[in-house]
Amino acid sequence: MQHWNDEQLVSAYLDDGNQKAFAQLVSRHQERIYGYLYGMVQDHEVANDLFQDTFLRVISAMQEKRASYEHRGRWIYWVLRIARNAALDYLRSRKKWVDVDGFRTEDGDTSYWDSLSEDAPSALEGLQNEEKWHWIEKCIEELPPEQREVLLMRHEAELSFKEIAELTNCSINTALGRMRYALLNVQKILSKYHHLETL
Amino acid sequence: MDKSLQLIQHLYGEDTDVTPAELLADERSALEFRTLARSKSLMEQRKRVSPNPLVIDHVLKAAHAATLRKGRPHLRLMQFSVTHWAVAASLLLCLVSGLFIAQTLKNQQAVAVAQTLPAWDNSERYEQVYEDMRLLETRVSTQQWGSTGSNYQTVSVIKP
Repeated sequence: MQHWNDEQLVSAYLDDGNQKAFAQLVSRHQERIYGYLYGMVQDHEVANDLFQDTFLRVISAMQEKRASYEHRGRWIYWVLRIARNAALDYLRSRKKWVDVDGFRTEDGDTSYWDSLSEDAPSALEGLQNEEKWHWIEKCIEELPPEQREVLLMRHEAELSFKEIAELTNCSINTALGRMRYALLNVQKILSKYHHLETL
Repeated sequence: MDKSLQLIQHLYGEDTDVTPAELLADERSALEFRTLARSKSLMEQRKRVSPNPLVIDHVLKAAHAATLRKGRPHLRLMQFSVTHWAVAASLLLCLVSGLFIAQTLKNQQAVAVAQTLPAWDNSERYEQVYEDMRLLETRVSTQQWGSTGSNYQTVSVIKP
């Protein structure tokens, strides 16, 4: 069963009531979905609630006669759409889904690039894993939500930029642009904290 | 597409319209690419996080409960068939019962008719008489005046 693709597992669960098939689906994708959710909300308790809520919606939708899931071999993509809706609902309720202009670099792009040295060392080089992970999460947390979302969808959910564009209802150029700013802003955030620590 | 966006595509191994050499030809693009790559590398070191096992248990139980609520498809099919079989058996039973009742009524009517006939009304005897009469009639009808009457026994006549 471990070699079955998602579609085979979905069919085994829906057609034969095979519980192991569904457990295999969850096991295979739990880190992708949870990694995305945790990155979005930065709180394990909330991320667990959203994860559970996502899968309860998934189970309910799969069992309905006129389910929103269509057998197109993109089960994980469909689940991520539901996870994203759950995350956005939460962020909107907390008024955290607001674009932040603080790190946008459209205007300041040139000066930023001019400030970079040829071989600027990473601010996290030489740190222990725990400390490094802390700073990585700090960077993700401080990113504007749209940039954070694209970054997580690419790194955690492993979606292509085309899929990210479809999922977030934007053009592929917008998705790529958000990714670019996200990666640039990660360096900015690290530089900011590194600078503060050395004061 | 903007060159900076193509850098992102190249960084993540997606197809671009231009070659990597063309993309990284100028120093500024090469510098940007290295910076982007550093961030990407950092993000790839992000700690893998998993949901609470209790949450997973709850999800799997919910999945199982949903299957039970819905009923396993092949069991539903069996239930479907059983329903059909039950309907078919009922219809067959009704049909057999109807035929049995009809036959019983018919027998009762026949008995009633027989009981109303007088004792001397022996239909078999009458049928036999009718058949004999019909046979005779057939034989007679084939004979005409002046015919040899081959069906009759001939006798010699001695004229005086």
